[in-house]
Amino acid sequence: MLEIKNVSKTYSKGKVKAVDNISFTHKNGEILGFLGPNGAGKTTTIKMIVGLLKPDEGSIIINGIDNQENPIEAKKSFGYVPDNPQIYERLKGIEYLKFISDVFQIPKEEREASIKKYSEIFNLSHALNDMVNSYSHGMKQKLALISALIHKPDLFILDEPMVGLDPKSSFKLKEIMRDHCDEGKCVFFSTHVLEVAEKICDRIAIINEGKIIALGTMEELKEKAGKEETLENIFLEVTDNESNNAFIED
Amino acid sequence: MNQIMHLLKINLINSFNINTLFSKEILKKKNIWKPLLFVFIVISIAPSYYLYIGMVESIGKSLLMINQESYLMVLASTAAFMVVFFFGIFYVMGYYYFSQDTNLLISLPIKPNNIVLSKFLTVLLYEYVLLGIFLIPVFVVNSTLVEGGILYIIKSIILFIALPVTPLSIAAIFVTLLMKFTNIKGRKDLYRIVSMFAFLFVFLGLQIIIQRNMMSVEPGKEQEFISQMFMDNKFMLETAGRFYPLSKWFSLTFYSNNWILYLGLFVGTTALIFASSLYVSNKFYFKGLIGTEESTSKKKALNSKEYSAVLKSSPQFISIFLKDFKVLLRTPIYLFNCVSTVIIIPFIFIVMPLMTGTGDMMSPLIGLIEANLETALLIFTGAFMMFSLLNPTASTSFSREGKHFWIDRSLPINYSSHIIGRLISPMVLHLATILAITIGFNYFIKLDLIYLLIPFVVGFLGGIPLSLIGLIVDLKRPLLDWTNPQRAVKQNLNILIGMVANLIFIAALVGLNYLFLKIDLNFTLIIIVDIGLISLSSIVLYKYSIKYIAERLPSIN
Repeated sequence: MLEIKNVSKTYSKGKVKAVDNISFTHKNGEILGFLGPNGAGKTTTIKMIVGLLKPDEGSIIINGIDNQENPIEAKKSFGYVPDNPQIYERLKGIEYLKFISDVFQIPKEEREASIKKYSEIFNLSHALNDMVNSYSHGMKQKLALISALIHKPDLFILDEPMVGLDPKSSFKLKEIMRDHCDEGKCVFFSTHVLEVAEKICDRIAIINEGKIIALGTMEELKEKAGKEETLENIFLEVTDNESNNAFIED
Repeated sequence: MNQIMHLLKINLINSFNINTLFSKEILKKKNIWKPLLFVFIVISIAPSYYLYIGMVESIGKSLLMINQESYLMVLASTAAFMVVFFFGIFYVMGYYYFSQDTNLLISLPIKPNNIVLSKFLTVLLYEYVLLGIFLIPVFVVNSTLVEGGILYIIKSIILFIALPVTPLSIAAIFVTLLMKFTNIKGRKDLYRIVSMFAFLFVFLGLQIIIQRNMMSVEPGKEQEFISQMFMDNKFMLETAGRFYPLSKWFSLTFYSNNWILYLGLFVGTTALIFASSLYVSNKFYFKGLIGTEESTSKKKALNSKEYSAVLKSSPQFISIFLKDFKVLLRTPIYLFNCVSTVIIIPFIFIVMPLMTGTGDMMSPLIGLIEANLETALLIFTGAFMMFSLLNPTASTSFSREGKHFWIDRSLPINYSSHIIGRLISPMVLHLATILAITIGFNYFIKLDLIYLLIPFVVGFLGGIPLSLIGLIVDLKRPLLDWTNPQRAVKQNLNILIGMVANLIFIAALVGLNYLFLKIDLNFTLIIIVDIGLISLSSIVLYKYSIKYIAERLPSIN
């Protein structure tokens, strides 16, 4: 479970408000899609959740643990895949996964099983013994996905995960996300692909200029829009409209 | 020309972080530590620089006394050639081949020669800064030996500008050919690393042999040598000139009436070598560059046994060390800058005297050591600690992560594992250096095991606080935003700051030991106190570093 409470983040000494007092709760068993135009604050929010950025205000609670007060314990609960995973070019894929397994202190049998399972799903088994610098962008993305999944995290956080993935791997990833939630865990991901979000998300949050401007299930968003609309239309409408409090779930 | 200037400007902005340097941010209260730190470093280095100037002055005076003042400029220019060439090899390698902007540049409609030339000029400008620091005092001292004046200044400026061009061009030719002919599918990094070290060893060996032959006097001919020196005021210049003609011409520009000829010879040869370097670059640069980042992939799945072997679990700190050490050994630029000292230092001190037969020169030293054993052991301990200071592995530990730092920062790694894991790499390199020197040293001077162990153990332990200082310095302001790994390990101010901080630590320890010797403190007690102080500072620094990393990790943007 993830709780974001009144979180704000500014850049350039307070001149640029990247995230402006956002609050929401992400419950177990659901996929929450995080949408927004470029520069809306999606990646900043995700970076604050995973501890790469410090919020100016507010708190982020992961599985009941405040990520500012107890960052190491909080980090044990999630697996994170950034939008452009830069992975050590001079390590072999398998060495990187061993490093991640050691950090999470995953027992030997468990890590072996997890790595085998996910590398077969993403068709990366044949490349694990090669250096990462021989990987394509998509292969690096797959390696980052495997590394984020091997410790079976309660919260799976992905920033633009479909970029660079081939159609088969995208399909597999969507299945994994769904299975993850079915196990009572949660998935939080940002995307620009609205069709994907519409199809697999249990709830959707739309952020614009640092503020959450819409939050709810697809049905709730349609209901608030007052007509039967696609997510694309709702997205365009709310990101154009300044006063869109009606789209925020109480 | 315009294209070259634009490229040069971009290179300089990238390489020297000029935008930050001249930004108004630097004048803000929060950033005031930056200029203050710079002033502090300058002040810390000032005494050494003052000593250097004094040394140049006394060399000049000594040469004047033996009627060989023209040899000063030969010495200075030869040393400058060597330094520029030696560093040039690494810089050219980094800028020409491992800079990440090169891939972007070759995809743009820019003439290949302009790319090479702009990179050459970037490295050249960097060499001017370094050379300026060392050569300006030499030019000033030399002006007191010959007639100074406007002409002297003009000659000095021309020679200073031309001086690094030749060694850098030779370095560029060597690296370009090396990269071209080792661009073989498979283990190209290994071929390149082995060839580079082999070349450096041959180069160093050759220098030692030349130096030895240059000034060696046959037994019985000492009188003749001395009288020649007093009769011919260019005797040493001519002797050295047989091996280093460029240095001879360099000096004769100041010391000959025919100076226009020598200046012409110097500048003309420089231009010729520079043109050759451009020709070689034009012909081979792209052939060596294409595929530099290519890596062979076996595309062979691991079998169960291999899986099992690779995936053996290790504690967090061991895993951090293994990751750090593998990246260090497998990245050529890191290897040359951080690991090469482990090979080069013992090579210079031990293997070279053996190979070149200069080992017998050590015999007076052996007598001196045996007569002052306790003091000598303390000096060795200090020297061993200095080897740790010279290695940039600790003070670039976080900077080397670059864009990969998000990984460690988003993982649940204990702070102690962060520090211990990163401490092991510099300590392993330190251990390897002092072990090789101790073993080699034992070959020349037979000492009891206990006497060998004292500097070895205390020198090794001394590496712990020094490396921790390096880690703290790098954690304070890690240089993560680089496109050329060279920036992380060579043009990183943290190395200099770390060295100054380490030097202060060593100086304090040396001062204390000097006092101990003065008051005739028992030698065993001195060693115990030293170990105690080193342990205490290690604990204090370790505790501080753990507290500091907890504070820094979330706030590094």
